[in-house]
Amino acid sequence: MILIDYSFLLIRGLGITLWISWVALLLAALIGALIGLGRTSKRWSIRFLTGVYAEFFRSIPVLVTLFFVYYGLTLLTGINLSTFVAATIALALEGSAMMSEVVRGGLQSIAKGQREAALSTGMKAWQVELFIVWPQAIRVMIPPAVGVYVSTLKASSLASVIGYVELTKTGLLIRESVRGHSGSLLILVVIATIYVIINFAISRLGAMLEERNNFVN
Amino acid sequence: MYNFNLFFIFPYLDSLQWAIWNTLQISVTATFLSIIFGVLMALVRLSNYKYLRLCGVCYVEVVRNMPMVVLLYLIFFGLPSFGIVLSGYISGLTALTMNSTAFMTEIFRSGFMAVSKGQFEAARAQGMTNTQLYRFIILPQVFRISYASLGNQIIGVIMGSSIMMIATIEEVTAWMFNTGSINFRYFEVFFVGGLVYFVLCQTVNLVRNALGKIIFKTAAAGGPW
Amino acid sequence: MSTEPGLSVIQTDPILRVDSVTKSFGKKIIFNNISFNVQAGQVVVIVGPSGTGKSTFLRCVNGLEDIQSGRIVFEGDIVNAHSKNIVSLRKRIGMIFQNFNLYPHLTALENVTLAPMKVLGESRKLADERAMDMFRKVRLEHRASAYPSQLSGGEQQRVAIARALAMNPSLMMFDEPTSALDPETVGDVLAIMEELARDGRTMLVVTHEMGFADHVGDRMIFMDGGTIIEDGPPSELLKNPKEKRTQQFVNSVLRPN
Repeated sequence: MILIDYSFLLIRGLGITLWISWVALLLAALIGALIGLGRTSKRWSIRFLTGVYAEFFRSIPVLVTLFFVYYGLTLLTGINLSTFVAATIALALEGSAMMSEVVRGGLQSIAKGQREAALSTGMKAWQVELFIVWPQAIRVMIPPAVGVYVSTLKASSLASVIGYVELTKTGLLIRESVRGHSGSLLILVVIATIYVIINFAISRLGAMLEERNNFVN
Repeated sequence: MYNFNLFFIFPYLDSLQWAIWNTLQISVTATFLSIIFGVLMALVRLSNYKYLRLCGVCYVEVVRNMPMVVLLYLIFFGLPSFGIVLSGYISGLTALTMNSTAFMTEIFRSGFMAVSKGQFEAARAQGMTNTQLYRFIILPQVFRISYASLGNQIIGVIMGSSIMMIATIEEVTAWMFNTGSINFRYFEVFFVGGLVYFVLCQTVNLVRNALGKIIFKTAAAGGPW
Repeated sequence: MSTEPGLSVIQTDPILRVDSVTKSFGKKIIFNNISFNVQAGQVVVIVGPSGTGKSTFLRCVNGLEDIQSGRIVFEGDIVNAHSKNIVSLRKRIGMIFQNFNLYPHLTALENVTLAPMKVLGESRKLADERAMDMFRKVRLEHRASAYPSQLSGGEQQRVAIARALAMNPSLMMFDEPTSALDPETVGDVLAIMEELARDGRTMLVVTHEMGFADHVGDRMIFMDGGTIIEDGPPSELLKNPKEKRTQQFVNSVLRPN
């Protein structure tokens, strides 16, 4: 059974996929929080610029961003980016656009009265954000952020195109080595099944978190 | 320092034109097909028959949670094991349509669920047949509810069409990759290609907002405009 | 105004001075050229039809909205929504909202202690102790650890009152505090407010509760169309209104059928 021979490689591939999408998600959350804050700014110019940023990456396919970072940035800086770094940056940029939408939605879901009530007790603007707005908004943001993680995890499969050996590339390499074998189809089905199970589990988790958030209503 | 010069792109404008045409063709076809299949699958998911519903759920969850590249590899490399050999274009179109159908199903399902039961009852009470009921009462409301998400999914299809270069389809991303590897003017190539995608997606946004205003007399939000 | 029964007739500087204040959103004028004073210890009730800018007026006093002309002076300080000292001003003004605006992610107790700790710099121990005093005052000591979603509307509003009281403000403003409540819980909230009045709190109350205005109010201001139509003792306004519009309003409220 070829699966047993290759199971170690598959597990390693899955680990790399989870790792790169997790790193990219953290970066995306960081950038996305800043962009999302900008999108709720009082100043029209900041709202517009951050809106264009989000809309830009929403309109550029992951594969294009990936090629741009891998080939273009290397050309520009003269530094040879590893496939890992290039893929992480590309996934983070794409994810940050989605995260900015999540952050904006979360901040806007907090009723105006919450800010007013806090202000009326004499809190400073930053205290209102820190103690009243964000603690509530983060709970609203977590379920859709889980969705962003699933998207990032799926998109990380595109890193295989520039030769980064994560789960998909691992599958393709195994397939090469067993070419002609009946395992060729099997290995693709196994890879697909792993993705489906992992993503399904994560999505369920997100749905459970959403149900737990009922105190807001 | 890199010297940015769009002049290097001029020799490749002809092939770019074809690439845009291919991107448009596969995106429009996949959108059209996935809307039809999406409505049908939404009805399957809301069916009265338990096993039919289960099939619908399985389809949506499996396809939605699988990267489109993997789906494409399954069709492109996997189907030949069963003696089914599809061309690159048909493989790509199948993968894109199957993927989009899963998302369209969810969009239309929530659309159907948002139409209140009273609508069905009121129309039946007036003696409408099932066809009339869906044609005149239910589908227009579903369309209205799903309208904004529909635009997002169309953008999703255009984004997804970039993966079709793996199935050797000469679309815009393939053009960028190929042209770049010939002239090494990656910056210019990505600038032009990126611009094409940006314009395509924002056109979808703007048309959606404008059409929404005409059809529903209200704006559907989208884009920073 | 200086002849309220039970109050000594010492005319001091008013705690709140409102001088020809105008508020507008763009071209739409919300209220125009409003002037009146509130003395310390007074309970002033503002009544009038919906949409006449009463709530907006309270928000202006707290600097949650800016004003276009005129002057609001609270304890000698000019209220300016955009100035830095608005924070120090808001500490001294408690505000009760129609929709309570309790913080849903905090327990009732935490709702009350947050501002004393973060704004006044009190220790958790002191803030907790004082909060429990406030809970006794609003008769909710058994509900202190509940989350807002577990409380009834009336209980939520009483927590909101405790939250405002915890800052020990020199003026309490109530923005239609009973309008969002079920009829059976209105009485509890009004009883607490009446007690506060008896304790000598200075209160500015926007309400539709004419009974409360009559019994508890020292003064009643009738607003309509963005201006003050009449200003005087509640019994006077309710029994012999001078203005025709006051008459119509009082009739419509007291005899809704």
